[in-house]
Amino acid sequence: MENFTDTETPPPPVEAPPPAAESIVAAGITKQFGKVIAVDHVNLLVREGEFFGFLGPNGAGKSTTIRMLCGLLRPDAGGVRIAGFEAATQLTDIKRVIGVLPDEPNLYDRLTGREYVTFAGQMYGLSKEEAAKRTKDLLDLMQMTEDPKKLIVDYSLGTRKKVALAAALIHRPRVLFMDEPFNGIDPISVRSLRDVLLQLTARGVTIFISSHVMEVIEKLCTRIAVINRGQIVGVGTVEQLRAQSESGINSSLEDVFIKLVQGEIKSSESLEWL
Amino acid sequence: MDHPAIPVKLMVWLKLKLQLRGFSRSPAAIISTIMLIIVFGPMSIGMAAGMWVALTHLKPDFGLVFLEGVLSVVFVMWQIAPLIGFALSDTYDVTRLFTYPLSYQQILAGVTLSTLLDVSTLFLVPALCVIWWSFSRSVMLALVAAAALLILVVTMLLLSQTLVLFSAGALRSRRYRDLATLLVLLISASFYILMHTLSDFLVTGITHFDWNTIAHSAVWGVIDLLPPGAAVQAIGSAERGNLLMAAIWLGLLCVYFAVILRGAAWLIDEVYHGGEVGLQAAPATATPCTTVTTARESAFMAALYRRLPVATAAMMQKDLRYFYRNPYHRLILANMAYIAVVMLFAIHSFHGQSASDFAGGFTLSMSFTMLLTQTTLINNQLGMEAMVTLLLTPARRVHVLLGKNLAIAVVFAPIGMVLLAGVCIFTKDYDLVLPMMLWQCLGLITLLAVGNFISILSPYTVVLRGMRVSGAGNRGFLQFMIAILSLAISTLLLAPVGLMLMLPVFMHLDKWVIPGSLGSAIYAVVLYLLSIKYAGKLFQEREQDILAKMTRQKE
Repeated sequence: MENFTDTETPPPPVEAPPPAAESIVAAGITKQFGKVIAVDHVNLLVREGEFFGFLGPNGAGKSTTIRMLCGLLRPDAGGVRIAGFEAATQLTDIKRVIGVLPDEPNLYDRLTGREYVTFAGQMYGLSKEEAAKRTKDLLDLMQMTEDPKKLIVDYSLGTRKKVALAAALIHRPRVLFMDEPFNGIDPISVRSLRDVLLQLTARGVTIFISSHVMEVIEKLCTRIAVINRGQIVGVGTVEQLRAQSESGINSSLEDVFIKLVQGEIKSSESLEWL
Repeated sequence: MDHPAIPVKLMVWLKLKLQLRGFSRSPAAIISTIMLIIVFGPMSIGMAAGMWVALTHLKPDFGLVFLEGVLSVVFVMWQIAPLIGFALSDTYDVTRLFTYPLSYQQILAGVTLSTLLDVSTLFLVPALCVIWWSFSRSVMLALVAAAALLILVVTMLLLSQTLVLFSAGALRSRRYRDLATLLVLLISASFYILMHTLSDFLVTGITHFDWNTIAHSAVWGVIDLLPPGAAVQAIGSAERGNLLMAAIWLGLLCVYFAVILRGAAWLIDEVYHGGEVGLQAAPATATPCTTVTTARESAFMAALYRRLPVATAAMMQKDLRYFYRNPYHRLILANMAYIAVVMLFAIHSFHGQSASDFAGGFTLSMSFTMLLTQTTLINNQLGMEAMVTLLLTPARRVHVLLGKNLAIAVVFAPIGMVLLAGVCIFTKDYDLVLPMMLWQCLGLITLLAVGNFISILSPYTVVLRGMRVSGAGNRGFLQFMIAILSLAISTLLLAPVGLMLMLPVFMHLDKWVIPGSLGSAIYAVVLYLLSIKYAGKLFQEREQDILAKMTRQKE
């Protein structure tokens, strides 16, 4: 971790408060699958209480990066530090302070949502009673209207997401990783969740969110990193990204993103037959 | 795509492509295919050879009865197997074709032709060729036999596809799939009893058996009117030179074919146009969830959970729920019940030879089988885990393993002990009751000790396809070899427990019974303690490798 420098992250805006403690630090993390380099020397620094967006086209290395940050995948090179704990030596401590909502919720299908969230709470060391109480509060917040006896295997994608999110929050994580969190969730629940997430960041919880929905990222995130072909191609506030990509002052995050990843918008001229 | 035959050709091409890719997509798949040919090829040839022997050596009337019996069994199997989750036809899902502008005739033709290319159908080809060859003594007979067999096979495949489509809604429901576990048990047990009776008959009764009674049973009168019977009757009539009757029987077979074809066409047309026909799963009712529901647990279990580390108790409770909710766990329990049925049936056939050495030895071998059946779960304890979720938690891995071990022990140990005690009492081998119960208990502890390491060193995700269980990623042959090796290691380490416990009992070395029991208990417990200590550590060290092995990387 000695090699890490903060040069990739631009200086904070003038009106911003003094920098908070480092929450997520990735120093040159690299991952190769066969001949394909999925993540190539990625450096990231996210401070406590930040709502940090992570963008990238399909196959850019987002999920692989998140898996390495969560300790689910060992980097081939580089190091990760979460909430002051080194991933190489203090993985269990990291898991104690993080919550993770994967893109495709990996749940125990044959439990009910309630049983599952309570189980997750107990696995984080909560007593059964405390876990059950928090489960009820969280599922009420998510407006879970499922039959209490219904098993997760019979849930819709949105409901599975709600359950997974409840399980990721039950132990009051200090750092929350979320991959496409709002995908499949109804608008009312999205609104409630967004309010909860904003409250969490106000209390110092760091949120690391990956999504393809630019409006959500633009509205919620204090800073954003863009990854393309395994490398970070831009990091900062929306304004800083505009400057980095040499986009106009009124350009949307979507325009900035496309410019940063050098995305080519295909012309439909050759599709006259369509 | 103007010509109506083009989509049908495309469907057959798709079927061929999918089938060939399934066999050749990886070295493991190629090896699995070779194994399939080595194992099932001789079975198919053997079935054909058996058919040839029966048709050439039995008297003509008996030969036809035998043929009718075999074809009826095959016909029924093809209809029942898909309904309990064993897909004899691996043709693609018909409903996927409904997005394309196809007529029901095209879909029907494409699906039926594709089904002819199924491995299971090809498995029947040698036997069908032998049947046809046996009745090719004249051109007319050969023509009638060919027509009868062809119409019968197409009718069989068409009916099977129609039944699957008719019951697709219910078949896809979780409740039905869960229920199918019970059906598998019932069918397996019935099959065992049938085979046992048949082998008894072949060994003892074949020479005294009254073939005339069988051949002239009234049952055949009914079977004759069904498709397999009509096909055989057509062949039989042609063989006797009665071409008029042969034509009538063929006509009846054609009526069956036409009715089933019309039914299939109507069904496809209805479903194609969005109609809800056939068996549907009961819709789940959504009710507001306002109260906290917790599973009821006995005072003993509640007290046990309180004394365990929280993660161990949570894991144990979760796994116990899985034992009665998850088809994979229930299949393993069903296997144990199946062994019990086999034991009781076999012992019943001893005709009350109580306390015989044979009965004791039999009980011992069955108890050994029962223990080894449990290794399916014990040697792959992480197979049904939501690994990402589990490994994201900071719970001590040794506590996780302990929870899983306790759940298995709480379920398997009592079942094994009660079943074996019951068998010993039934055979009046009262002196075997305690040793057998101890053997199940200590054997399980030993298997858990070994299984913890195997589960961590060689985990694979269990995938349920209907009632078929397989490893993720189709590791096929490699997975099979690892499973065999694991079983060998488990057996090797289990042997000392069995020897120390059972040798003194069976050799009547009374003064060695207690030291033997103590020795086996010490062996099992020490092995387990060592396992839980080092396997927990190993789990922690290897967790990222385990995850990488069990989940495919997205990017």
